[in-house]
Amino acid sequence: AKSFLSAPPESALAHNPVFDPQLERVELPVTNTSERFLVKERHFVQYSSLYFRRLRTMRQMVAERALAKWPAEKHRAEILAINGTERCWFIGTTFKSMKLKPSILEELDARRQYEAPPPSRSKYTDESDELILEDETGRVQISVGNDFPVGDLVSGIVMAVLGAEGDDGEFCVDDFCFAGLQEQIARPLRAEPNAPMIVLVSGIEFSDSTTNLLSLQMFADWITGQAGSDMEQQLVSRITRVVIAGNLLGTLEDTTQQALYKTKNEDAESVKHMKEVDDFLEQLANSVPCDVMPGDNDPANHLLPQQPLHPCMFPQSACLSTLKGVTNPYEFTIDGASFLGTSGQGISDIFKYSVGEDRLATLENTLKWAHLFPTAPDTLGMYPFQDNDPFVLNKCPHVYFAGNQPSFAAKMVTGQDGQQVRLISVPRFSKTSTVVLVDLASLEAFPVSFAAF
Amino acid sequence: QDKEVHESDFTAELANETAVVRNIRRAPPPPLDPQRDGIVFQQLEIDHYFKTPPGKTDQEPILRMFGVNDSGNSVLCHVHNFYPFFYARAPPGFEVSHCSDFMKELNKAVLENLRSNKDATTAVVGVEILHKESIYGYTGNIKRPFLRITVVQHKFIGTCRRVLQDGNFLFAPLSKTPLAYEVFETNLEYNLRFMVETDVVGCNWVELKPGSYKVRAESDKASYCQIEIDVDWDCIVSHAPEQSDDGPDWLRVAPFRILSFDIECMGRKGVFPEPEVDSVIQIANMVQVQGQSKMFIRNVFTLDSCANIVGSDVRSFKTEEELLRAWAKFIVEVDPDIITGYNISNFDLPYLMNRAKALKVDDFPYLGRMRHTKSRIIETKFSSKAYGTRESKVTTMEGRLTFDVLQVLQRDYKLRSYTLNSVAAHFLGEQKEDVQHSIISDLQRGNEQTRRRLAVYCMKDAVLPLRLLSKLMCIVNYMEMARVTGVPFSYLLSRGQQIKVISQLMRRAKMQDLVIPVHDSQGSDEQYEGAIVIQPKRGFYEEPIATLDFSSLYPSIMQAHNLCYTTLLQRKDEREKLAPDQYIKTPTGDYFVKSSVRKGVLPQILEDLLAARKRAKADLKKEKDAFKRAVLDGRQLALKISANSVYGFTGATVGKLPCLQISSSVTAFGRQMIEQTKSLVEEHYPGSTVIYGDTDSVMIDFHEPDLAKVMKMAQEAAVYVTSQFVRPINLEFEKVYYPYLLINKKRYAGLYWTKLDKYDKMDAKGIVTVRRDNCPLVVTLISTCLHKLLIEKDKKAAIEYAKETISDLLCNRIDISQLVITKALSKTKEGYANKQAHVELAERMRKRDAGSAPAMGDRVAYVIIQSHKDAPAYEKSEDPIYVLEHKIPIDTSYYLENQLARPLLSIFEPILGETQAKSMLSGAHTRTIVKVARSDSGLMKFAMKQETCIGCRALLRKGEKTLCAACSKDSSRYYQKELSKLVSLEERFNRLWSQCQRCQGSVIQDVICTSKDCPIFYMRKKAQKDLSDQDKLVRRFEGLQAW
Repeated sequence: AKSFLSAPPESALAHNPVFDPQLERVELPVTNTSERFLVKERHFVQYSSLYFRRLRTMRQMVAERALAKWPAEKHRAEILAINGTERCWFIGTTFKSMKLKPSILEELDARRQYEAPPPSRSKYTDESDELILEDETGRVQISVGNDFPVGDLVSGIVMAVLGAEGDDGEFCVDDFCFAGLQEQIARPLRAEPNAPMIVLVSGIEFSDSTTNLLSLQMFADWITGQAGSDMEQQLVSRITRVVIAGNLLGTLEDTTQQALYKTKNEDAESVKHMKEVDDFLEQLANSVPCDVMPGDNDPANHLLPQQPLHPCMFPQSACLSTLKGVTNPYEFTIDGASFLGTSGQGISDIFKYSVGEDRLATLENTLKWAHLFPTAPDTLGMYPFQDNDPFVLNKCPHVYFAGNQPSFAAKMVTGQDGQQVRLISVPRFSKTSTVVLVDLASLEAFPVSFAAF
Repeated sequence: QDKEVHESDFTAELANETAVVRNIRRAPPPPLDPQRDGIVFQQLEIDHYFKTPPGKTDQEPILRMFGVNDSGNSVLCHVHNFYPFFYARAPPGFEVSHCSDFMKELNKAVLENLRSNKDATTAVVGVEILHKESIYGYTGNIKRPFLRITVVQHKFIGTCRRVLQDGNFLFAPLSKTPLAYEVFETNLEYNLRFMVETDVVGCNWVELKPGSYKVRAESDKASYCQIEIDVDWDCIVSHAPEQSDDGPDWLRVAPFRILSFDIECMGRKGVFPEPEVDSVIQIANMVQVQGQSKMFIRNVFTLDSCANIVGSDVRSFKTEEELLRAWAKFIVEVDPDIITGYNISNFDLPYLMNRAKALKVDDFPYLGRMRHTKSRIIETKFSSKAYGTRESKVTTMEGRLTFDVLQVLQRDYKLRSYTLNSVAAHFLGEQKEDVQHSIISDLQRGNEQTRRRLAVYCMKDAVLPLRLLSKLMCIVNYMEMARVTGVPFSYLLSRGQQIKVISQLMRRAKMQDLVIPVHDSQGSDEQYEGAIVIQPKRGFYEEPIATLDFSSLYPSIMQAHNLCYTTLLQRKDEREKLAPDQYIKTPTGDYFVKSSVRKGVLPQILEDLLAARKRAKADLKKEKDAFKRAVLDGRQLALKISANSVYGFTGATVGKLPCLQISSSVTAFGRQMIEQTKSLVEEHYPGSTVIYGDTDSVMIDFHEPDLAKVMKMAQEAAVYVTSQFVRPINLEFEKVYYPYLLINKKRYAGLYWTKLDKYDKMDAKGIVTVRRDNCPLVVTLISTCLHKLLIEKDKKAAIEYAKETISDLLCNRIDISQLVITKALSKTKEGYANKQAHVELAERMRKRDAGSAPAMGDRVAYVIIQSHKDAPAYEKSEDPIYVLEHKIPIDTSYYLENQLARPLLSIFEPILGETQAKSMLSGAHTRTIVKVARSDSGLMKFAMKQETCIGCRALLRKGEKTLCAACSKDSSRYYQKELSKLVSLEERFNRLWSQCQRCQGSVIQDVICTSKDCPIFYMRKKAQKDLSDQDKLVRRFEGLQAW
């Protein structure tokens, strides 16, 4: 087998390569700013306070935009104050009512127990989907005519709508607005020939049926500088950090539901594969600093935010100072650039409950909605925070990424106040053998593939 | 914070808002010219009242027909001059010339004998001779003279009867001594008599030709109906409910108004609301026009302010008196034809009435259509063989029908639970919030927001009955039943099956000049042999088993053998007058004449019913329109039920006209036919065996594995056997069971096939009953096992599943909702003879917290917990929530031995044999047991809690927090094991609680639902508790190491 790097664009490569036998990796300090994603005290209460907090926090963000957009329109602060046919705007949290939305109640329905399980779908959207806006005082159904994009929206978004109540009590929307992109710390993009870079990788997915071990080894060899041409090695030396955005493990069988007399002496399925993960991380972290975010399949808690993977599962690699377990979502600053990323659950969930196909557009939407995981807790697991919703985006990052997506994609978006955000869809390595390089000067992102023949 | 949107401005604006005003009254009727215009309307209710007509001194009955016309106007038709009558056998020598004197004499005698109404001046107003025949017994087809005696009021009939029957009445022109007269049809109700005489059937269309009626002016109206008219009884044109191709469609249904409502009361802690003390705080109303899906009136009356509800009309009142008064006014304005709701008859309506009485709102109880008639509460006791005894209350609202959905469901469906909640889940697939009494009070005491919450809840309870009615097509079906059997709509809920047969019998008898004797019903213990079955050959049949059914067996026997009152040969001398081929002897030794001599009335009724059913079924096939299909389907069903109830009528010893010679002959024929079928089949198909025979079906094992061949043979067999019987007896091939598990008499399960490509369904009879003292686990386990056995045809998987369930039970991994047993608390502790688990528990809960304890009428949910050895079961009941919160161990062996064992053995014994089946209750899978230490036990409070190693449960030494030294090296393993449990609990927690938010229709409000019928109620509580515990356990690993 021989490795082929898909050539990075010219700009990424050094202009005058100088052979240096002692290539030193660039070192840059990183500041972890994910404190708010650590859950200290846990109380498993119901979700009402969370929604309440979300609305309270975001109402002001949305109101600001709405006032700017519709300065002359009448505002109603409460849904129940909407008065007949009067034209006005108000703010509420969306709830999308969908007949195909999986429901645990239906699954438990004895009568449906033996019916063939509903065909697995990539999307649960349907033409009959309805949108409701709710606040502390009540709910109102949004009339879905008038080109209102129900299909693009999901539950849990705080938004403003302008319009009037129709005859049947539904609210007919003429215009709507979201919180939009929030404030961003100014950091000019610059073109710099040998700028440091970081690597984003996700979905390595060790499992019983791992098929691309070779590609993975090629990636490890490449990043540790043991493969590739001089030019490549020089490029690699600019990589200051690797961020693993979730799913070191693939999907494993869930044995927790089996009868105890069969499983009491068995280990969790993840145990043997975590040993492989440990080996792999040891190799990597010996050469380059690594931040490991947990993903959906990994042995971490399920409810977002996911807490760092426990070091006891990494007996070899955890003792290296270069390896760090971090939260999902993960926010950090490096070289003045703020990064915010998730292991992709939010984007994948929104994909299922909205009509859009474009993952980057979804990623961009969450920025405009100013919320990382709007569909949580309705269709996505989330810890029931009582005092705040840490997933509200009240700052705008410079780089915003989501892991475990089907393919690589990146683009720059510009916000209403000139904010510039690089969006990156980080592909599953197990399916694409691709990692993402991010240039810290220009914040450009490009894929690097490790195809094995 | 100037960005914060100003809120106070809006409360002021809100105060100025007025509720949406909608016109709730019916559209006014067009002007009516009684000389030129006719009136056509569908009558829904018929009753009568008494009035002294001008120029007379005695009260006379006047009938009232309430109904609706095609344009939705309400109609009241006063029907005059219809007098009740009955028959008596004319004594020998009675001449037409005697009539007038006889009438006077009888009148005198009756007036003297009156026990009440002593000031009446006239009782008997007519005597005439008619030639009739008694329906009971064949007497040679000869009509004999009968006296038709007409009286002023129905109540005089009783006195007449007494006078005539007792043998003390002397009519001198005829004899020297008093005679005893045989009376007929004295027990027919006046309203029904009227309907029979005018051919009016329940809910049919009635027409009044121009010039035949008078319209009442507004000032003369006695009711709130829009059109009020007076008419003579013989001017009524009644249209049979039929649809002809050229004429008008008399099957149609008028656009009548249905109102559904629900009330909420202010409960006190631990006490069921009492109208003398507890306020009515909300009444929600929904009004629908029959045939339309939209509820055109949606409103809620609230005590104290209530925030706006978009799309609904909220009417708030400062005092309860105002609220009640406004509601009564609202009812009159809306003028509903049918009032429905859930348990309104026994709760909501009496509660409102009694509350109004307690508050002295004197103008409240005028809810009916008559302007000056007060509504009253009548306590009734309804007893029926088919429906059991039920005490109930009726709140009279003259001219309106009360149609309580709960009563409909209790009559027509056998369910595990009849709470609105579980019924909605069962039929509509909707879960509904269930809010406890005490929380209702809290919501009421809160602010306009919390009251709004309550109002939304209350409105949902008013909507659901309407949804149920339309889903189950109750009104349409009941209307068809009323039309087919001829009884008024209101009889269908308040009366049993008999009245329907009587109504048909009377109509038929009238046509043939037959009169019906009066049977003094006296409960006799006379028993006749029921339908014996061919002893089942127990086993698990993996070959197709064909099932042949006699279609409408009992009706067809009655038709085939001409079994009837009119054909019964009671006396030997009558029989001897006939040739031997003119009568038959039934297997019970009774004699009946053949139809060549006289065709029976009952066979004719059945013929009509079954022919009508056939027509309805044929029309059903052709009909495209969904609503008309519903009508036709309801009709054919009603016809089937009616046909079957004719047999029951002849066997009802406490009934109006029992004739055990008929009913026992019918069952004897049935038995004989089943046996005959068995021998015919076994002879005709050598090698085949009839493995079981029930009342009207036989099951045949042809020992043939090919399904197609079996179906073909079964079809042939049905034709062959049918050819051996008298028409219209018909043996039909209906289905094949393949495979088939025959457990015992009336207990079997099988996969039901009617076509070759796919089975229709899984059929299970009598295996797990709907009895509530079975916990849901039993139902789930048995149905899953059956599913695996019959559908997946995987015996191993079924056994495996049963073992796993038993293991899960013993390891405390069964969801507690699966173990809950519920019973209604219907009496106080003293009311029960023995100590009962649910009563004892209610008592204990009251001591713990009177607020949340179940009140009288509530259902108590409990589980059986571990207690000391030999503790009686009633001591071991506990509140499931308490069990979850305190981690009290479940008595798993009780569930295994008392709940699971019997049904499990019964299905596995035919498959595995007795010994093997028994081993399912022991074996390796029963040896892993998880013991739960209860956290509230006395000992635990004193014990020093010492941490144990998560890996090996050994006590930890000083300095060790998570794992012992030996297990430490495997920390990754132990961590992942515990973590995987945490993950699955977290997932569950999230899905369950977000589901409840969806169901309650709000994400921002707290979930307050406590519906014990909801499959996830306990589950969500348990997930919360378990997650908390597991999280604490997993967090102990944090001390181990950090990044």
